[in-house]
Amino acid sequence: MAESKMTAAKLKPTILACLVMLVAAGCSSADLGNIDETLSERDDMPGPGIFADENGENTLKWSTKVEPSDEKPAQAAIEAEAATGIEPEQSSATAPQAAPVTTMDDKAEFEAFKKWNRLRSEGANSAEYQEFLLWLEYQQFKN
Amino acid sequence: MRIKTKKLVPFLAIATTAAVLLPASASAVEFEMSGQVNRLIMNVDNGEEDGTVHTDNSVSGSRVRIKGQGDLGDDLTAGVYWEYQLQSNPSSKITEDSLDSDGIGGDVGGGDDFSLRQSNVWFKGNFGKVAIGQGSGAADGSTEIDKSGTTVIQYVDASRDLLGSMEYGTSGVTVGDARSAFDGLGRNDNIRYDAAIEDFALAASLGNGDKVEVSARYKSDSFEIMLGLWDDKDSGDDVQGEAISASWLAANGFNLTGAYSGDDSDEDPTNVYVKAGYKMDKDSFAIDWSETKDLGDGDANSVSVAWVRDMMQGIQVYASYRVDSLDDVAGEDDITALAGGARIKF
Repeated sequence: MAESKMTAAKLKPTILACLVMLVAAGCSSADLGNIDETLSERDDMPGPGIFADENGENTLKWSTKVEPSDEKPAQAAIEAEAATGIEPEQSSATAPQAAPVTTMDDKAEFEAFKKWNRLRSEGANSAEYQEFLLWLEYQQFKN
Repeated sequence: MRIKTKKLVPFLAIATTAAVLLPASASAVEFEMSGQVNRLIMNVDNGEEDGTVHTDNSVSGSRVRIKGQGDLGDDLTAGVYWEYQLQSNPSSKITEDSLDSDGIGGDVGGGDDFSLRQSNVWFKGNFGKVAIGQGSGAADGSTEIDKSGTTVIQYVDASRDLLGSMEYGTSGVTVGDARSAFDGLGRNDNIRYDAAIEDFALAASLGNGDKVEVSARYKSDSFEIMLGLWDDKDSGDDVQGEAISASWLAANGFNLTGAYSGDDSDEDPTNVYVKAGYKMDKDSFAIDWSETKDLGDGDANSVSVAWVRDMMQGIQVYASYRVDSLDDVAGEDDITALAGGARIKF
């Protein structure tokens, strides 16, 4: 047991040190919620299962979400449509796909650029522009 | 900003669309079902009896799980985690009698085994994550850090999972009597707190009978290490234990894994584990050795070689050969097992 007790004596200060670091980080308003919840390879094979679709998404997934297709479009969507000439996607599942905007002609693309430039210079604190910045961050994360 | 301006333009319409739709999805609750079937055919010889059995691989038994989560707003998420294991003839319960009969219990279906593994609810935010219910204690898995890619058939506690009820010859001692990985207090009913910063994580749990567990972990792509401490307090005999395990995976696929653990029960038993492997694109190979001392009558050790192939998305096939030995007990004999199986995830 001498070995065992020696190990414990070494482990306890290490864990306490980690605890102190985390508490200190918590006091400085750091985000402590970025927890890696990946199961071990023994418990769960990495990657999607055999029923995954071509995008690697698990098809055995369902949601209680109410589809917003029958809701009145928000003012921002109307404005975006007016600016780009493109009707916004009505499903959040398909929203992140870039396909609709890649087919924009030059005029529509220029209109979109003007809107983006105006938002950047005049509405940096607007929810719309903040959402846009978050989308950029997501693209960087994804790539 | 690294993204070029030209790329920004298309994102505008997408971002606007997302801004409109996200509030609608904020109240959504998503559920996902997954699981696996993991079957094994194993030829076992304990020096007295030998035979081939069809089993469910208890290293990672057949199971189904449901996970659900919903956004509560203000960076707060809530969820549920439920997992049930359903095994026919679990390998950990195979005995000498199972080698020449219809299976465990002597009847088809006699060896069916069902157990709840996870049933908990959780809340996560900038403060970390809090879970209550049945789930892993904070020190569970602290001996199991392993980047070899062969863990479906070969890991620190594989002896007990594959041959736990087999007797060494006529010694009267089973593998389960003589071997343990001392891997924390396993899954139990508890309240657990997790927090993480970058690649570091800390966890603590408090369960029935005041059992307490804490752990610290570092994880990167090439290296991972975990430390765990526990005390079963009033739920047992106030046994305290500690464990450490680490694994390193080189860029060329070579990998090394090790673990050491023990507790202060009876004779202060300990377990040591070492493993070396080579991981390629789809195939992983490894050899391991481990020894448990002072747990029961005699010290016990094992050595094994294993191969695992990721055939395609969600399908693994594997094989291994292992020898489990017991020292200093009359009537003991080695147990050998040649195993092959497949795991399919859905």
